[in-house]
Amino acid sequence: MDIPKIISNTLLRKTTLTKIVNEFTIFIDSSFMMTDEADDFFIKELTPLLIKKSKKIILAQKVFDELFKQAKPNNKIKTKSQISKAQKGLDIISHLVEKDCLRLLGSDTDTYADNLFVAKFTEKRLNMKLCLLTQDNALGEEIIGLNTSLSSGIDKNGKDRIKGIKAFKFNGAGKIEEFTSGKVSNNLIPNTTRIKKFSNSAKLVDLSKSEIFSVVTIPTNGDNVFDKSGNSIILGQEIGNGAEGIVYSVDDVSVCKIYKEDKFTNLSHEKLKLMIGKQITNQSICWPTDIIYDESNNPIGYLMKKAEGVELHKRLFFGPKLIEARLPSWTKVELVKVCLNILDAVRVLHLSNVLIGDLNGRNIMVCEDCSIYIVDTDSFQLEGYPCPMGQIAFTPPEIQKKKFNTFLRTTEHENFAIATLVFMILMPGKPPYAKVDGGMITDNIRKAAFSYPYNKNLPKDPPKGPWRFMWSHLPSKTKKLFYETFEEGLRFDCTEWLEALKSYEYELKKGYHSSDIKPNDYKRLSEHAVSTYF
Amino acid sequence: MNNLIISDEELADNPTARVPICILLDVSRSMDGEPIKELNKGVKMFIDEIIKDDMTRFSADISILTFGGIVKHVFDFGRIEEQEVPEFRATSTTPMAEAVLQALNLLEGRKQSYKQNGVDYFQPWIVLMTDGGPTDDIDVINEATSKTRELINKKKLALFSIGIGNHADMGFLETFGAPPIKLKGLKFSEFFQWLSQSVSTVSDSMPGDKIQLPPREGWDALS
Repeated sequence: MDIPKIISNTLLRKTTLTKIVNEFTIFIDSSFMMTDEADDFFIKELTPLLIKKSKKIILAQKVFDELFKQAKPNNKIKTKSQISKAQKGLDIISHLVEKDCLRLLGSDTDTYADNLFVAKFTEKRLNMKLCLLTQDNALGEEIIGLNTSLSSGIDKNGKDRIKGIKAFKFNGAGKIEEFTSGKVSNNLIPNTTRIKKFSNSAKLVDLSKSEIFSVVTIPTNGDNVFDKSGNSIILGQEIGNGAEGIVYSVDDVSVCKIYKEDKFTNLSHEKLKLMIGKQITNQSICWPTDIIYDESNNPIGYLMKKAEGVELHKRLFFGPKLIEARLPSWTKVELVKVCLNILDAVRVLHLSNVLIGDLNGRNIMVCEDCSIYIVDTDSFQLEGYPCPMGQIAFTPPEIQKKKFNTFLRTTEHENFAIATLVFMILMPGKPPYAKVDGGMITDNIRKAAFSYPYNKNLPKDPPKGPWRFMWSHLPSKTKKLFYETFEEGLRFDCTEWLEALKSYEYELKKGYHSSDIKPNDYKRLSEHAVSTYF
Repeated sequence: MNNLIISDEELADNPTARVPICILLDVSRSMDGEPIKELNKGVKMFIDEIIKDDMTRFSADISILTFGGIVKHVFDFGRIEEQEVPEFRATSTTPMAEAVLQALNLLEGRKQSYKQNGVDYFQPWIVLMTDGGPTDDIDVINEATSKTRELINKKKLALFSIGIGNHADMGFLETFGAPPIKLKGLKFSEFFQWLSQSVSTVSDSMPGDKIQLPPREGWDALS
């Protein structure tokens, strides 16, 4: 059966690492050195290889200067955790210097570090194979985009002359992972590039004007269906049954959704074509890859990347007791990681002008290693196509009463849903506006009165049970974002949440906060705080 | 009822927004024979289905009242797993309106418990099943119907009234403020299966909209 290959998680194996060290010139970004995993990775894996092959890693002077500045203990604009992260980065640099595995690349320009990588890679890509280690997704994707983005006119055979560019990061599970730009390719040079953007100025498409495709017989398990080129695909086991369609297994990497009777329209077909034309290739997003046809060549569904794991709602939203019973090894660290992985994926969508729209606990799958998959991508909001669905709990006060197919949501609406989702992961299952003397969930959201205390705001009326203890153990920066979202009506984007939660993750690992999912009491001063401040 | 369990711990620990549901069952004399047998089977199956699925086990908050001669509270809100549904026996008159008023009181009380504990909830449900018409005093009937109509108008209540057999007073049921549905034959099991599926769709429902319910084929006499 010949079906399109879909990107699979390419973890960097040792042989690949050896190949990279042998053939590529490796650049490193400060964000990569500031991770918790970097220590181990350099000492155990990368540095020994560099020594063996007498190779050096390239550090831009600019990156070094930035780290140095950030690590100053009297740095007033950075938090303690940021300072200590920068310090970790410097530790790695001294380790590399000590082993003679580092080359400083002087810079005479004033470019910002990010631009510096793009500039350097653009300049060098015709002469050497280049590799960047970074935690910055946007930068990583832009860098691998340089594999094909020669400006026209420079060289007609440009593609052939680029030697090959790769970028790597640590994923949510702490493993090294390659930035990929699309289809699996044996070639060193991937064939697609850059973050693809959908238009953000399209007018609302009126879904009520859609025409239903009628299909004589809807294929089911065991039947043959066909891709665009006429290749036959056999529908495997049913793995999901929703309001709109049934999802069948196809092979190890992809699944197929077949629409139910009267559920597939000309407009959903147009939207799918638009989505398939601009692949968003992220490990965690089950983007449609191909339209699927019946024997008579009627479009009846689509192929997408296969998801793994269990619905977020079932995994985490039934409360701490069930998490304890079903995921006994999990702590707050895993909860934070799940948030980070979701935020990473949503950020990529937002950069492409795509909104999930109906963000909730039932269209995200969570694996035991904290990796996540976003499913139901055909209902995403993009260009003029609204997302016609939504759940009460994740809908901001200002649109609680509106019909979702009558307007296009804004990023601000989505940022409310993000805050709610993060809240319900860290306080497993508890909706943010639940409070003593509250009411129906929709009324609580519309009143937008947040009941958890922040700073000088004394406890008002947070719900009974373990929730107030959990709240007291959250770091101040995270509390601030929740408080300002739910009490003051501000909205924060993925990057702001990522920043707060990455510090939280780091501080949890350092032991600055309790990692109990359900602490039994309010937070007291930690030993660390006592020894630092008293 | 023998085992009233009042559990604040469950209210405080389970974070899920609840759907409070009060089920009112006609066990008057006319239900004797096959109907009461099928009803018993259907209700037991319903509770099993709710417990089986995590989505409904944590969100559905169920209480059951029977009316046959008197109104009895036979199953209370709270820990569904720790209670047993008793065997219903058909007897005597049909105090339907009285049962509705008691149901409204029970729901009101349950909402107070939610408020005390800071538990979010969705619009409460009343499910009313009868094979006849009320034998209550007219004052009680008027009070019950005007209260349900007002709550339904304000979207503070969803009422499903189900008529059983040919003698169910469908015209009267309509006065509660929601269109009644006629049960196909004695398809109680099919109805309760639909009800448990409906509960699990509530948390997915959209704000300001009617609850999106699954198709009623299988038990609705008209579908």
